[in-house]
Amino acid sequence: MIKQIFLDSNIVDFNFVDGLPERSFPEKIDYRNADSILVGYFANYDGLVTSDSLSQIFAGNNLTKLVNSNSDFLLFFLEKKTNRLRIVLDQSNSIPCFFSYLNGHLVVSTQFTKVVGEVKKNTKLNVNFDGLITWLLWEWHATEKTLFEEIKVIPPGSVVDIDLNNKKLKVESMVDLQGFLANTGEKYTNTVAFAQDWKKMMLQIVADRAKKILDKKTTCDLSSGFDCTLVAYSLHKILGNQLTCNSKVSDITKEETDINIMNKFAKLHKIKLETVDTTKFDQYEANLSSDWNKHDPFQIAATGFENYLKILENKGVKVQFTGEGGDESYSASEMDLSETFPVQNSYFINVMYLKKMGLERLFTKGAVDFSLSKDRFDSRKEYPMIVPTSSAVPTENTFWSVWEKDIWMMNPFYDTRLISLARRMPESIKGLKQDRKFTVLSNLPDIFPKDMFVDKFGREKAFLGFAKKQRKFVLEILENSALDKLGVISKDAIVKMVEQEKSDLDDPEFAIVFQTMMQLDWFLQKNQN
Amino acid sequence: MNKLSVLLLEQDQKKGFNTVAYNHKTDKLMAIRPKEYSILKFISDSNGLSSENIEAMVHKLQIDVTEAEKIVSELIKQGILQSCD
Repeated sequence: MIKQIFLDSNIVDFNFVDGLPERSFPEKIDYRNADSILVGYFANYDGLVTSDSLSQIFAGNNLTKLVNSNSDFLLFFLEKKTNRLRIVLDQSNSIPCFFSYLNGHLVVSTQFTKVVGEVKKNTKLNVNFDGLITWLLWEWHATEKTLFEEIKVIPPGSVVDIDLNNKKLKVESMVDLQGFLANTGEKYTNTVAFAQDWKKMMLQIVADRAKKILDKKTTCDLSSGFDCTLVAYSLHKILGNQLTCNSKVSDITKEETDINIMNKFAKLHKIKLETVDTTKFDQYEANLSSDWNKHDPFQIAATGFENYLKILENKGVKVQFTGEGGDESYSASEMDLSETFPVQNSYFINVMYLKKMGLERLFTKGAVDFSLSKDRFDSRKEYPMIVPTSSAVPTENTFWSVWEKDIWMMNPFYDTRLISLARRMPESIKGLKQDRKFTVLSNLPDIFPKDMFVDKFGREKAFLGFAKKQRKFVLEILENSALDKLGVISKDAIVKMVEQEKSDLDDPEFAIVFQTMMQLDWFLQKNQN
Repeated sequence: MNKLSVLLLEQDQKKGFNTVAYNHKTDKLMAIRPKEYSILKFISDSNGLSSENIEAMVHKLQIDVTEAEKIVSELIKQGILQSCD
């Protein structure tokens, strides 16, 4: 069964005769009458919108209410009389959707490469340099741009409004950021009271989600960090012994997932824990030239994440709760300027990556000049976000694989009620920057054992082995480098780095960008017609 | 103007010439209001500010000299403007 959404106006009209693929969660919507058709997937968690009211919401054009609720959805609404199609995506990007609309030919899919495959049959694919640099630097922001000019993605919380008769399309954000920012309540003055309400809010938000999935096999992702453990604690309060948490562990990234801490946490709360060892994927021993998939620029099939997902699939898991967005929630009190000026904020992140961290050394001067150019940022349309951008946007690259396995990632930290509470953090904590999370959660000793209060690192180290272990394959990619032909990298300079015993590639930040660069270069070589 | 601290865009007009700058000394974003914006824009368009064109700026922007000096001095302190001294 093909589970991806895939619609192509050359094959079917947009009357959705066959409906959309079946799946376990969220609920599939299919309402039809003489005037309109509404199909998609929908789940609401805060009671502001029900699935029965969706047709009315579209008819009354009240999409702002829908988008600003705490719901996960992707909906297609066709008005038959006017032949107007609207596609609306929730504000947390929970079902990323790519599309292309060229000369009246509309292709829509949850999988980027399915759209690529269709478009390149008829049209030459042109690289979008803004999208390309964004991809290479992992500088995710809400945008309609992708790697190719001809293919777009629906920005979170936006509507794609298509006049099928006149072949016109516009994209508009429905996220009410200013309304959200204006409604921040009074700040707490007491840290203990804030921590207690933080815990209560998480319990409420997890409960609101859990009641929607009680008949589905559910797990919670667990690491030794605070975010997923808080979610796991809350979910265990509801599901009790029904809950088994799952975790990826790797010898290479022990600072990310310390098995001893996880076991201690699980024992304290009597939570069942099963682990999957993904060390071998972080060692890059496999022959990647045969393992890489020419249809996937992210190469998810060759990752420990994909292996972990397959194990969940085999266990029959349909829903996994996560701690995604947890880190960002502790910075929500500072989101006013960064989210009101997302284009400028993105520029400063590029400055940080390229100039402060020195990643410009991986690129040509021309690419760096373009990356920091006024033209690049002036070409951006603004799509405001309330939900943490750096968590919600990158998932669009791996989402299709999760979706294909009929697993749903449930992200309680994306709930705007929690983000709103985070903005009310006491001033005394706000000033602590990196230590905010420690300070809040140290007031919840019943949940978090003392051993958890240690510095935690990300998965950066997992990228370090790639250049050395896969040197032969890397040199083959560079031999025909598409990025060199595009003027983005200097093949000779990169080859020199790869061949040196010590180079910038020994720095994890460089290693991440370098691996991404090689994956994308290879993908472009295989896919640009 | 420190180009790594501020980026003036055509689309700033839509927001009434409000924008943000990055203070690399404090690692924080800071708000740029229309009056500061107009000074930054003048300096950017004139490739800098000197004793020769400061009068032209004050005249063009219809701004009090003392106030302009105060804003410029503050922007230098924050690293948004760089002094050639």
